[in-house]
Amino acid sequence: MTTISISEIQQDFAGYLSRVQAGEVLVITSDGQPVAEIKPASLGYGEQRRIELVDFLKGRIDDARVPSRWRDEGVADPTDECRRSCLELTEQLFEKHGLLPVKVVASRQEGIYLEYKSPRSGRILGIEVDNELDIVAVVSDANQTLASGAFEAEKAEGLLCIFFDTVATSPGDSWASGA
Amino acid sequence: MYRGYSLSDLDDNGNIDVASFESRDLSCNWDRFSVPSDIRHRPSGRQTDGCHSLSVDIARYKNLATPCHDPIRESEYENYAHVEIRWLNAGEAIEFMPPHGRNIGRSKTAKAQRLEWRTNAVRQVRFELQATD
Repeated sequence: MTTISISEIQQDFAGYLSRVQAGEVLVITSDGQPVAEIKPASLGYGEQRRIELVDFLKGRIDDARVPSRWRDEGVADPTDECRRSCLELTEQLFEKHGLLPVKVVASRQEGIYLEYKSPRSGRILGIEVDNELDIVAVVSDANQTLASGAFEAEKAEGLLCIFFDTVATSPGDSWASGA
Repeated sequence: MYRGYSLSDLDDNGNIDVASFESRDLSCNWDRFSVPSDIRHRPSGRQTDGCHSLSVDIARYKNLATPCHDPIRESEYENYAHVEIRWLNAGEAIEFMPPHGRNIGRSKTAKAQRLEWRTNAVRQVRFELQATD
């Protein structure tokens, strides 16, 4: 805790503010008497919730391990890079679309399989992130598969539109059922 | 076709998990020449394994794969009913029999197609024999 006068802080407000950002607490005095404190802002609710969410997703992704039977057959666990890619993807899907996976499991394809369910359309979005860091996805409903393709850029947006049932066309140049 | 599975291949709802399907040739038995419990006697089989079945139509979904009769010749396994579901490359006829163990496409499109194939398959398989602990 540092005590400074009003005139001192007025001379270099930005400098003192950067010290606060670094964690220091300043007590402002007027005529030698403390009148105010400046301290680092606490995390807002939104930021705190985001951190908790990332921890939750990271925990689920870290828990995705191949069963011992698959390991005996030579199937490798998801790599650290695959897990990072998966975490980045799940964060993006939450931040952009409010989506949380209903399933996060290791895949026999050597990677991680994620599954999302649309509360509105009831459709399923299955996404696989493999150890080569390729990301592919398929959208299906209760009766059939609807579309699939690489889950990247415009193609991903197209697949998400089909998942949310906001458009009736197939995504980009990926191939849809019936093609 | 009969395909063996274990409890680790099931999701929380007791369905075959999309993530549990092999990326290579899928080993099965012909139902015409075997019974579901025969899969427990395959080379990698266990007495706790279950069995589910896929039709030829499911295997040939969108001409992405096709069943190939592939007898196991090791004398210790008299499993003459063995069949493999093998991936086809784009343009290959559905009657074509891809060689055992050939490399499969690594493009994102090929991977997406295989994920779609698996997604379609798991919704249509029929349980023949339950796996146990």
